[in-house]
Amino acid sequence: MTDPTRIREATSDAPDELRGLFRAAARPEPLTPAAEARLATRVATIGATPSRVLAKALPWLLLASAAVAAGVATRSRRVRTPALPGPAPVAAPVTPPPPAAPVTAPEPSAVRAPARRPPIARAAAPAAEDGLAVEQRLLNEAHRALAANPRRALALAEDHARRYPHGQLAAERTLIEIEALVAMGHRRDAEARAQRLRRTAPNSIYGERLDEILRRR
Amino acid sequence: MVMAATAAAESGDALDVRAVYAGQRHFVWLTLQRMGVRRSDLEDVFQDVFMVVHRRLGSYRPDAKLSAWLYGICLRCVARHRRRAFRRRERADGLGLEAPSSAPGGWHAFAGAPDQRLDQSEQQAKLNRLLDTLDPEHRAIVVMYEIEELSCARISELTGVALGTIHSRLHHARRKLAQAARRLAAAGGDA
Repeated sequence: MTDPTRIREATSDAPDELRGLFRAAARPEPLTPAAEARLATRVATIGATPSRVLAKALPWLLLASAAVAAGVATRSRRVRTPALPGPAPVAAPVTPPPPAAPVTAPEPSAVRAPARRPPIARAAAPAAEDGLAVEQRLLNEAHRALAANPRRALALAEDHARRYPHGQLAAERTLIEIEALVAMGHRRDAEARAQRLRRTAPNSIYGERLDEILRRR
Repeated sequence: MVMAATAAAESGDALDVRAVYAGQRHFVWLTLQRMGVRRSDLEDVFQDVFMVVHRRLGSYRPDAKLSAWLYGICLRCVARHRRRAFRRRERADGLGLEAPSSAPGGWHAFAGAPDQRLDQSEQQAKLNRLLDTLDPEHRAIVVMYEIEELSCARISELTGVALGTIHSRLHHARRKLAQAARRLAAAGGDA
């Protein structure tokens, strides 16, 4: 069974106008790191029903009030520092941030989800969820810096690499690094990193984006 | 990451939403656009898909291709999204005609000179209006074949739809598009 002639081809029997439209058509847009970071956060909240969020929050609330009661003021300040919504970087990555954001700003659709656990899912630890949010915030910032200040974008991406050497957004980070290196004129380094990314994620869609980035001068 | 999710699926190991997201997010993202979801709604519908994935992971059979399973979920979510959008439009203007919900150009931000960009975005808007006359399944197949230039065999592999069905859907969609294009031309370019 051979495939039919495509509309865009001169030999197709489609009306001329239709042929012209298909020739000029844009392909679906690939995921940008910024959209991806937002989606990662949204997906991370799926299954986080109010009861689970409360279960996550409870130990932290108890710890905070116990610390305040004991008069350990400095310790309690650290525990209370909101990590997710604030623009400030997380000071101590080893301290799991409190779950302030899921409690105050649950995704509307997540609330619509049935309040039961996923049938198979091994839910990731709370720290991993929070880690993902911090990862995505770092990379969002790096992505925003790309156009105006690739050097800063690279520094932020490398900071992400130091903090999350095996992070969930490692491939996205490498894309930002490569894009920044190309913008700074360090083509050889960019190509070496691109080659490594192609080896580690050979079947991913990153191939097309890498080609596009490396075509830039 | 794609391989991790696929390997987990094939070996029957526990798959969770994160593994599906890690391996298939690009496929879902592109598929929703192929089915006609505009950029302004894309992230909401994307999340809806993963809510369904979360609820239905237990019914996923490892012998089915993960992308084909997700394709079916995308179709249902897009159908629901279309019904909601239709109701919203009916309430808003009492018409019920499909209209691009975002800027002309729909799914793509164009690069190039401003006047060229305008021309391109008008063309894309016109094509989107034609494609929107198709149902999401026909639309997705047309976009994959006619715009992304995937082979029918590859489309069949990704979607789990039989090769013969792909051919017949393309044929049907092409006839419908030609009719819609004629109507568009007769109406003086305004669909």
